Amino acid sequence: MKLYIAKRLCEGGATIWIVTLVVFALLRITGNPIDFLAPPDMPWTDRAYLREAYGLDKPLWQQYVLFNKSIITGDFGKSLRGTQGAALDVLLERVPATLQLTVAALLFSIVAGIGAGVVSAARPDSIYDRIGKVIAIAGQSMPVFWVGLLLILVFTVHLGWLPSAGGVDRLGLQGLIMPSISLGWLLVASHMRMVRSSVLDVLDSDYIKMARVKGLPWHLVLWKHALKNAAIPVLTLFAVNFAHLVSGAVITETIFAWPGIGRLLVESILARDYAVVQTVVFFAAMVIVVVNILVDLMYAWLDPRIRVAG
Amino acid sequence: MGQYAPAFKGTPRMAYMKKVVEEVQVIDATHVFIKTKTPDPTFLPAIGGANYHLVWYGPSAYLKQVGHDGYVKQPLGGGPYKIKEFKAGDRIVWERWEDFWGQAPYWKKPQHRLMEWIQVPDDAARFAMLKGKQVDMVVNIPYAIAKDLPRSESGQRSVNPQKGVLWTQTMKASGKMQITFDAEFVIKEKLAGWEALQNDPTLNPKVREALELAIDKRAIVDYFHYGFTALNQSLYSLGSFGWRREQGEKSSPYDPKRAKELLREAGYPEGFSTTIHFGVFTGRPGQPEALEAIASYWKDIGVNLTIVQHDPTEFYTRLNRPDRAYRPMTLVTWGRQENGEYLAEQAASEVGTRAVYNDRTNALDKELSSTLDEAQRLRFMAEIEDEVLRHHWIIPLYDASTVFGYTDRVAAHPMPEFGAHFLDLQRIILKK
Repeated sequence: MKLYIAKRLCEGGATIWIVTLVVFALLRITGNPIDFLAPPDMPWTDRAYLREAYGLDKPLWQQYVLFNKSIITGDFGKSLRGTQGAALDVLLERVPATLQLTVAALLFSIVAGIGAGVVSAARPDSIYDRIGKVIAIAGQSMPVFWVGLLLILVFTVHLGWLPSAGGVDRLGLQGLIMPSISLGWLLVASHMRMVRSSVLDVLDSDYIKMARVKGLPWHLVLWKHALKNAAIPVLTLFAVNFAHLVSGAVITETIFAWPGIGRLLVESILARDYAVVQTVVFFAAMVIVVVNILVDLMYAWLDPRIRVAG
Repeated sequence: MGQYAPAFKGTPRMAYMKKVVEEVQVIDATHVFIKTKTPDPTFLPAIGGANYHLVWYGPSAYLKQVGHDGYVKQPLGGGPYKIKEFKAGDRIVWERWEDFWGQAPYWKKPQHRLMEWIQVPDDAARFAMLKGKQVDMVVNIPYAIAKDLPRSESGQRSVNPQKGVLWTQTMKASGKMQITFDAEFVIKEKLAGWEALQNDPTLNPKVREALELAIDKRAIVDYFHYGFTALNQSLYSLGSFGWRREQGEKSSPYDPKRAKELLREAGYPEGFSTTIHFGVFTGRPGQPEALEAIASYWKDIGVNLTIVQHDPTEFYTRLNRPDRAYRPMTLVTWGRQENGEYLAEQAASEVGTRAVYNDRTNALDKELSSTLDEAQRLRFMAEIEDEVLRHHWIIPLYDASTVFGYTDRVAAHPMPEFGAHFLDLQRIILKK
């Protein structure tokens, strides 16, 4: 197990390093941010001063070494925009809003996905199964921005029930409802299919048949025994999807003016704010890699066969 | 009190201030005297116009106490409001400053104690907030949406026309829209890649004239922009210093037949293919629609136009010297300038960024920048404009507008008819 953990950690570290290298290179291909900030008549001496102040006068390899050093020390540089604060502070300011949205979206997709998946598995090819599939596929087929705008049109404009823009700080928990549905609906289909397939497999097991033969109520068999054993692959899917959601629900955050890291990333890319873009991407890569490692470790702990194979 | 040499930190827009300002004298609590290195008639328009974000006015004691970085994080100078809460990229909450000094006719204590600004990037989401009455006012409603709402201009401008739950007010001439031809400049300056442009059709003045004649500018304004934009045949913003009514309101001939003749005379009887570049500028809706219309008009005379849209940040940076990356044409917008002198310099001098120059425009620009006599300055600006338009280096199209939307909770919002940005939010009057 220790060897497995070490192997996964090394792979995770290598993945993050590659991601930072690619982002570093891509950002610099798009141009020097000083050229975007400076007015056309700015003397070259002033441009040189600014380039030096932001470390952009150094050779690329040196900038990259410094960037890697700064990651280790936790100093990701300064944002070029706004209050020009530390890039890490700018990111951390936005993380709570993204976490709120992500957790809410995931909860919605889990509850809806598990509910629809279990009902579908319990009554395959029934009207319930078909309805569940339609709802799930609708979520996958409709673009997130369209779902968001539709929800705004109905619940904000016509019914006036829910607010549509701003984070929890401003709107309270009701501000979470529409963005989390808009974002989470996309995942309902994959959760529903995974749960349905897992539960169907489990329902075929001998111990389930034994439980039925023993006369246990169907709902207990389904929700207590079958679902528990079907949960392992499903949990890993939830964890992986959580990581992907955290890394940037850009469209949802734009539609709902949600002050999260997705929107921060887009604004920073447009402004060539290198430090913030690198910090956000590094953070997102970290989350995805760490969550995947944890999921793998959890899997290995639950199923010894994977440890041996790994 | 006293005088001090300005110590401008190397922030991007300080280049101009360092170039022109020699010293600043503090006369008293409400007066400063700024001494420029040479006579500079463009100084006040520049700091009040193109570079008006440059200058922050505030108490020196506070600046010295917190330093530049501290001042950036917690600035002063919100006028009758102070910042209660600030989240960069998200929102600002302003609180009325009860000790505000201004009892002048224009500046007085606002009616509302708290004012919140929220950044909502998406047009539809922004309008939905207004329709759902989550906000009282929205800045920049797309023309296609605004056209169906009651306009305050139908009655008394800036006042709720009382024709529904929403209403709008249009701030005219927030930015100029014009087509600039850059091939001649690139060749003149021998910029990278100039050789490839030596046979470009737009080098021929008859071609440029033909392209202008083929555009029905009135139709763009009336139909594609629903009347929100304003035809302006001048290089200068509508109603600004330097703008001449006889030039700005000149009728814009739409003559595709004459355009085809000119192309034939220029040696392009079958037309040609060309490219135009642009980047959508926030607060100036209608650019893609205008270009689609222009492409269609030019197609009628045999000119096939490829429209290339760029990231706006990149576009407006690379547009200017020394890169001039976008060739041979660009659709350019320029924020409203109350004093057209800045635009005159950009359009037609060797330090300009928008068009070509020649010896005459260079000489005129030099005279303009050293003349303090107002009548003389107007004359030079007119001559520069005439020279640029005579050569068809620029096709002025229209002045863009910004549409503001309000709920019926807002009784009035007195605001100037012309402006570059939203103004006078402290003057909003809410219904009691």
